[in-house]
Amino acid sequence: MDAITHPLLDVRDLKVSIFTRWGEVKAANGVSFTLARGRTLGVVGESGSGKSITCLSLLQLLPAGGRIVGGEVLFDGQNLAAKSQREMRQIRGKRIAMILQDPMTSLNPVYTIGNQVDEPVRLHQPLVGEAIRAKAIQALRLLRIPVPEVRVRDFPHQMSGGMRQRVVGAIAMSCEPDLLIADEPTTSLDTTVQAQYLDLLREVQEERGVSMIFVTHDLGIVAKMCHRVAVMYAGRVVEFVSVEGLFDDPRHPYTKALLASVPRHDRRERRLAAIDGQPPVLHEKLPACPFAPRCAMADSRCFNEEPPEVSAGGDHMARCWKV
Amino acid sequence: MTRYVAERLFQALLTLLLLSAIIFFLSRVLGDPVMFLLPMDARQDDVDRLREIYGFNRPLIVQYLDMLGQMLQGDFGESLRLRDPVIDLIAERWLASVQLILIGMSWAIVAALILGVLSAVYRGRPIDWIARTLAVIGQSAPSFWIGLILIQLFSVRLEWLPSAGYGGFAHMVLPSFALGVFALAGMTRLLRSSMLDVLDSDYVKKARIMGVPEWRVITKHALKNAILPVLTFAGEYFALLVTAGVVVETVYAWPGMGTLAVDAVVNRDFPLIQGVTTMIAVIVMSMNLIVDLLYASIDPRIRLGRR
Repeated sequence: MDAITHPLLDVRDLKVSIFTRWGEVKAANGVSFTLARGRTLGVVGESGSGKSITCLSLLQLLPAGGRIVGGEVLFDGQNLAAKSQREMRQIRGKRIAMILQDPMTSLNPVYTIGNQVDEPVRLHQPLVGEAIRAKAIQALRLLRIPVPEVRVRDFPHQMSGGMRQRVVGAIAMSCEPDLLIADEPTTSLDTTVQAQYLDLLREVQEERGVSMIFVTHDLGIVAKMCHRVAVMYAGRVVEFVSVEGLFDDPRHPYTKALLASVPRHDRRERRLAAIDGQPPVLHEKLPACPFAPRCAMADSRCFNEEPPEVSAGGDHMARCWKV
Repeated sequence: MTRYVAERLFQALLTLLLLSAIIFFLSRVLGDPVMFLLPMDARQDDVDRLREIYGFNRPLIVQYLDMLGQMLQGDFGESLRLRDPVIDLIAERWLASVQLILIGMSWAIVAALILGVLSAVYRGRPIDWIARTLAVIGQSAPSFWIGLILIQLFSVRLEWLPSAGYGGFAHMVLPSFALGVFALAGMTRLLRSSMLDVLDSDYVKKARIMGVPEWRVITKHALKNAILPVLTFAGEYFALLVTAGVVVETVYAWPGMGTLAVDAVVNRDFPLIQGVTTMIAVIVMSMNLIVDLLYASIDPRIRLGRR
């Protein structure tokens, strides 16, 4: 198969469990999605829906007690779920990189910016001496850091939050990865800086053709950044759809509820439409469709039989009996 | 940086001044040494005469200012009992004390680094359990007791090491071990907990995400940060070691300033008390200054200041 028809990332029925002393938590319970080269996938859902765990499992960097218990992560044709930690270290930073949420804590306070951008280059690129620093400066320039030749000598505490997140981006992009995972990268930035950073990431994507996974709970960011969207609920992808389909034709009741809970300037309701009930507690026994207890359309089948992936036309999938 | 050191030195001088006053007045609370210097049946006339000779009959504040003036000229006076200049007595002894403290502290730091890191990295495993048990024992057992147990075991039973006295390396082993145990225990616990915090930090996660091998994550990214809180307390531990040194020196008949200090206090030897405590204070303050400079060299936020 050639690269055009073959997606860069094809996650199939991924199951990740975290084994705690209170029992097994199924953090990802049959997650499937695909991501084409140069495209951006949005992963949305509430806290605890399994977004971050899914991303970390792609890199096999799960928290203590976490383990991939089933499924495949096909990245450029190789199954990452079957790789050893040693093999994964050749992929981390080199072919898949990740930006964490908080730029204030993502940089090591005791090393210079230059030292921290150099590090992955030194690890993953066949470069020595001056060439390493040159590559690092190139990455800082890609993220539009002014006078990178000078800033490499700065320490993180000498930079603003927005500038630090650019440095984090530069570290991630330093070895020109094929896939960039961004876990709510703008949540802790000011709104204006947030918009700048998102524009910057889009420019980086256009320049380098990197695929991105954008974890967020902000549907505004999804609209701005993503081509396709995976909506997650209780460790499952409940709807997998193009960004147009998400806003124009949402099929899963949870997606509809999520969209209805976004405040809009053109509708002035006094209260926002919150989703009734509580998010599920994952180490308790869940009904066959985990959203059923909060779903207005649910009937007895929803509680007893697991809903299949139902096609809603083309590549639009929803996991619901009522599509 | 120069400015910082200058500020610190000025602070140190103020501290020494304050300390000289505290030591002077506190030691006078005990009474004066005249009774120790005269025979038991001395007449009151002789007692008064001797007090006059030493100037103990003058108002305290006058005595203090007199002493301060002499100290500023570098004259620490003469030991009342040993009749030697205080400076000479300290010169003979200080090196032995500093030797003991430095060796005790050095092995404690090295061992704490190893134990603390292993304990955090292998959290909940046997090595962690052993390190934590050792730390609790080390922090709760008084150093004189550890000293005595070591003598009993290694000198009396096994006859491997000398039980007391000053000499070569063999004489150094037991006292420096007994002295370092407390600092080792404290620093191991501190390093373990700060290491656990740092290993959970985002920048450590980020290093792993970028494919940095685990041993480099630990030694490069985690340890340099985790060591900072330990360093903050290293200065305190130096001071504690100096105090504990007095006890350990007594147990091992170590010819340092500790034994000198005990003798001075027991005999109310005012000039010697003043001299020894001043010297100990100078040692503690220099160690603290070194620790602070070390801290600044590791942490750019201290070195360069926050914007």
